[in-house]
Amino acid sequence: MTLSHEHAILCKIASEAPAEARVGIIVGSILLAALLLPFLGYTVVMTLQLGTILYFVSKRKLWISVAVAIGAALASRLVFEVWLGTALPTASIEFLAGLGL
Amino acid sequence: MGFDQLLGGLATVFTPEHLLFALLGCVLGMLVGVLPGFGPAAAVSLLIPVTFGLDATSAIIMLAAILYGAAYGGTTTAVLLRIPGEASSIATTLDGYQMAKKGRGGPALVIAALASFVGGLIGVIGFVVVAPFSRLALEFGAPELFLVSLLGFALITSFAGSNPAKALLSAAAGLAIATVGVDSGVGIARFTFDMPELFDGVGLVAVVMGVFGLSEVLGQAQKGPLGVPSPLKVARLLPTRTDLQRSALPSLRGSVIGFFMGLLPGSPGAATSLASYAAEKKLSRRRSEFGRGAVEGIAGPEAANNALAVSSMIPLFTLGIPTSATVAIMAGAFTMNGLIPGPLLFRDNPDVAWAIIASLIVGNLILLILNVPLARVWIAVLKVPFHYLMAAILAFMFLGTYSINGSPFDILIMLGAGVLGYIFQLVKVPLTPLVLGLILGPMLEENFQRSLALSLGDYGVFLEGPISLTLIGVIVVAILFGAVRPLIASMLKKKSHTPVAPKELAK
Repeated sequence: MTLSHEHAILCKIASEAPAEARVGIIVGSILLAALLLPFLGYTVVMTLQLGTILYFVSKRKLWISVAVAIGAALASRLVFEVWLGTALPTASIEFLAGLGL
Repeated sequence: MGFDQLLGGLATVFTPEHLLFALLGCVLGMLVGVLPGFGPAAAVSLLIPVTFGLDATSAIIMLAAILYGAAYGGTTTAVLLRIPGEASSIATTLDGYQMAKKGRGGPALVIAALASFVGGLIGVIGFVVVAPFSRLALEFGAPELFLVSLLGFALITSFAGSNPAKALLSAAAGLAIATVGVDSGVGIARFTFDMPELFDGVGLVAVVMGVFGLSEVLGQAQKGPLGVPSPLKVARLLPTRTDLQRSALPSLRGSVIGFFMGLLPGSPGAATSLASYAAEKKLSRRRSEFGRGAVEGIAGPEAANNALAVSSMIPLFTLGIPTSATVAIMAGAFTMNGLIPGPLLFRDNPDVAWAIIASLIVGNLILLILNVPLARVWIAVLKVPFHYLMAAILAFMFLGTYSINGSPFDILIMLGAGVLGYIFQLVKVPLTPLVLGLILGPMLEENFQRSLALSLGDYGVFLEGPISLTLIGVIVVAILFGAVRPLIASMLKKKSHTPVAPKELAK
């Protein structure tokens, strides 16, 4: 299956996602994010969560979803860590921790 | 009376630091308040984490400012977009939007702000008059405090929503959540499943954020993206002399209506502003102008709304019982900051108590100045596609809940509460009793156990003395009223042929 084919199928699922599915995707993404937070760290988890919601619930284009998710995750981390002085969780997986995430 | 202390409070608030937090709170509150569906309760619960790390006085001043800011934000969208940010601005959409349609959006917003300020001021004056009576409540022992909390329940289930059975269900859910944790009397761990995170009980902020914030996001995700109509122009700002003259008396009348309605439990914001609207319509010589841009129809309800917001805090400050969702969240914020809401606040931290009351005036003054200049900014916010706003709100809630204790567990609590709140909304169960149950539950239980410990297990302790007997009498009346209220409502419905609000606005 080519990437564009996969994308088309995902888009189809997203565009046909009924009301309950949108609610389910939000709830599921928060649940997964909370559970993965100690392992992946804030930046990765927030990027994944926002990306999922923007792409599947809000039906933005993939590249826009990814760009906005990464931007928002980094910006919110900056605000909370630098401005408000709240320590955000970092990844416990060595590879990610090594990247400073 | 407490006017000297009020002046002292004003002196405390007029420090650059406190003013800055009040200003920040107003702006943030307005920002959230303009979003459709996000009223004061949602705004305060969403923004509680912003106040973490502040000292108690600053935190409460900021939260009170957020509360007012959110109410003003709702007014702005009611006038310019015909979208009431919350139920209590429904009355403002009727004439405010019509005024804006005629190119008089600016004067409508200024009149709304002025009337709100009058309402807030009269509310505070009433507050100052009533506050010293809280000393009486200091005489209350454990049995009386138990009865007061019970009264809180009786009143809220009788007044909240249209269906007492559903209100009771919601209150029971709140009480059930409140039982989690180590029991304060005998130290048994209840429903903790050996999880240390649950020993202190379920976190109030996490629950409130879920019930009022997340459930709203889920509800809107279910409905699909909202289309925001293009807003009307603000145009010329200042109201004419006639506008001011015409709105003076309605503002005063609205304030009085709002003040007394706010003392009632349930603090029915929408009903109060609609009652004030109906009163003005009845009293006005220009009855035909109502619904076509009558300035009285903005001044009355807005004043009522704001006087109510102030006076609904009175039961919290004097008796320690919250009577509405927003006040309940404020009560939670008090406890989080190490302050005990109730008569003890005036005895132990009078400076803080009066500073908060004084900050209500200052907050309203800031909003009076900010309201109109910022109207264009809020409209710009509403033009941001809802997809991005929703994602931003979710990210903010995720972060905010995490930062309560620095633990992902609170996020799960928030999520669970959000799903519960969403389901409650779907089946039209009111959410306020749930939060009240959560807050009053520990108070109810602690005083019940203490009373029985003092009386060596004799239940007669609740029937001793005139205060207890009076409280029991009021509880019985409240329950009876709750039972017959649906009947009265249906009878009134048959009688009235002229609905005050257009059908599409009446929820």
